[in-house]
Amino acid sequence: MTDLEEIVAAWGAGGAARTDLDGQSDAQGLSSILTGLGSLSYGELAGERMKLGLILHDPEEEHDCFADNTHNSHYYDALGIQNVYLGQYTRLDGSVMEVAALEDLAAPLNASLNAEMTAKLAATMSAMQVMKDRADSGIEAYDQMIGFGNDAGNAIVQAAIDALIDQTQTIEALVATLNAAEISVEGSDSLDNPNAVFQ
Amino acid sequence: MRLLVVFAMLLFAPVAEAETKAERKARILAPTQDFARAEQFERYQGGSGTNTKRFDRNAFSLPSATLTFEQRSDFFVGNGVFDRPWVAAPSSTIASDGLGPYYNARSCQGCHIKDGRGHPPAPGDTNMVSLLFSLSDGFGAPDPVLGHQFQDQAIPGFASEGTLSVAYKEVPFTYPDGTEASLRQPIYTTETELGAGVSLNPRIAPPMIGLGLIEAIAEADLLAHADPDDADGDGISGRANQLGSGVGRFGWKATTSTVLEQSAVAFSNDMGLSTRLRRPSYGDCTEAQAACQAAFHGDDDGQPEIADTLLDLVAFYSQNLAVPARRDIDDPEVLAGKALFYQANCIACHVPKFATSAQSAPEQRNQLIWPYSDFLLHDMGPGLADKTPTGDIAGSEWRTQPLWGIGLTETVNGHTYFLHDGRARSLEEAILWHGGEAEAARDAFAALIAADRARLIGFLESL
Repeated sequence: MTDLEEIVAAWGAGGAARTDLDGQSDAQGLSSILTGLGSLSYGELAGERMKLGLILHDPEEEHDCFADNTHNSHYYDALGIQNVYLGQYTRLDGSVMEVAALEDLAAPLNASLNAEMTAKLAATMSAMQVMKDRADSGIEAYDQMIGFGNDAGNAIVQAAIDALIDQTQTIEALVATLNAAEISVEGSDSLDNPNAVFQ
Repeated sequence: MRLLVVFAMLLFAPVAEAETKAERKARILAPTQDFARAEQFERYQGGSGTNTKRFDRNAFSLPSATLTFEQRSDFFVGNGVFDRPWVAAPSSTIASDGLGPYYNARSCQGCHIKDGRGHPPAPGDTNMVSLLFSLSDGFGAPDPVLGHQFQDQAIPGFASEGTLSVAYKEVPFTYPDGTEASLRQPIYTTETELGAGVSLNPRIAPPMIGLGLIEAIAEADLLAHADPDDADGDGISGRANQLGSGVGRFGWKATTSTVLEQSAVAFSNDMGLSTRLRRPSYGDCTEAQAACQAAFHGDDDGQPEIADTLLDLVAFYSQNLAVPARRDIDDPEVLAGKALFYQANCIACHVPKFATSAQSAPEQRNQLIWPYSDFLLHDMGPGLADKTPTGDIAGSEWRTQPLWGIGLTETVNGHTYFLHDGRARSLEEAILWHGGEAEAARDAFAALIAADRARLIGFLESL
């Protein structure tokens, strides 16, 4: 509970995370948000939480091993990424909250990348849905899906990982587009980065 | 901006048609004599992969910027293995068992906290996390019962090899200008009976940054700095620890030559886990510890406890932790401190620059790196010496430590304890402990006026 309260406070009025983001330029802020979404998609969720468990085929490697709730953890993490990008959140009662969306900011900068992004986020949710349905319907729990020799279960988890990796490629392309825009305005010392000086 | 790029072209384009590749390399690697301004590329002390993004608590935990998108996945999964707590066999978690029976830590990051520097326990505290003890007798041989290392932890059903405690004695130091300082000298004790002549030799967990770059330095470039018999008579020798696998580069005594080998040694000695390079499932247990050797182990179906994939992922992760960029390189005070560091001849061992080999992996090759180390063994005098040798490496010989990132120790690890046992409470104390071949440089530092001593330390803090 204290962890959750800490996050709420950090993003509340005057909170450290909110203040930091508010202090950035529009392009920087957008880039920070996208970098965060990319880190969660790739290193965190696809990498440490899902791929490692699949490599090990280890039932103890499911994220919520005591609650047998890993399928929901992964599903809602992915949904959170999509929510932030689309600026919408479906409440428990089914009503939808809509706020300013990253999508609205990205679309004018690069419409085709934005379209690719929304499509890939949807593809990830489809793959995650298959994984969640398999667990919810009682066919098998997440730790069984990643088990050794369970080819069908392994493939379902792998498909979700692949979709997360795929969406990260587009997130990074968006970040690069935004950074390029930023550099052309403000300049950057990354131009004198010593790429392979002894080549 | 345009001017900078042109400057880079001038610097790295051949100045004369006759300049060979080797001459160009020597020109770029020669220590600077110009302290009026920062050197080109100096900010990027870890080459092209340098972390230019984060200088906070996570400053040592970023992947090298040279990794491809696909490689970053291996890095992150490797990070998962690095953080993973291992458990005793047998367990429900086949892929995670095999810990011990004796061990120092359950996970890599248990000691390599935030991929940074370990710390000594508080005086009187027996919790030795991130500080371990190597064991050797007067001939450099391991303890006949306890083995190469003292493991102060054990799985259920086993008593560990014992507990250790540390006490400190204050040793006064007086600068030539009359300023008083106090150095902290550790005294280690254990109630466990050690073999005849066996000594407890402390080893703090070192930072994990830039290890793949160190590995990528051509052996000939390291040997070029060696002068084992001090043929040039400058009082500084520098000896390469020649191993079957090449020149030793890693560990406080340069006892391993590759990151993979160092990882396997740590799995075996620190966690009691077998790998394809170190097969005993019981780690550092000796024949005199029969119950330990006979314990349940995690070598399922004859496979090592740490599967090859996992060992390789940990090694890849360890090779590719980015070195953070320097800060304040243009600050006149930092530049003045840099000049003093060079003038005091600290750079005789803390060699500023190397080029990585064109033959190494794409993510490491052809980089200009600034580790401030020659990675050779030097006699550091009796004050710092282990009581006993490690193999054929004298107790007083230590590998020059790389200094890159040292200025972020407090940010990342919340302390400023330095040297192989964390005895130094500040960079100043660490410098004052330098003896043996480094005594002249230490004396040169001590002879500076206080403001200049602060400038030299300010330079180190910018690394």
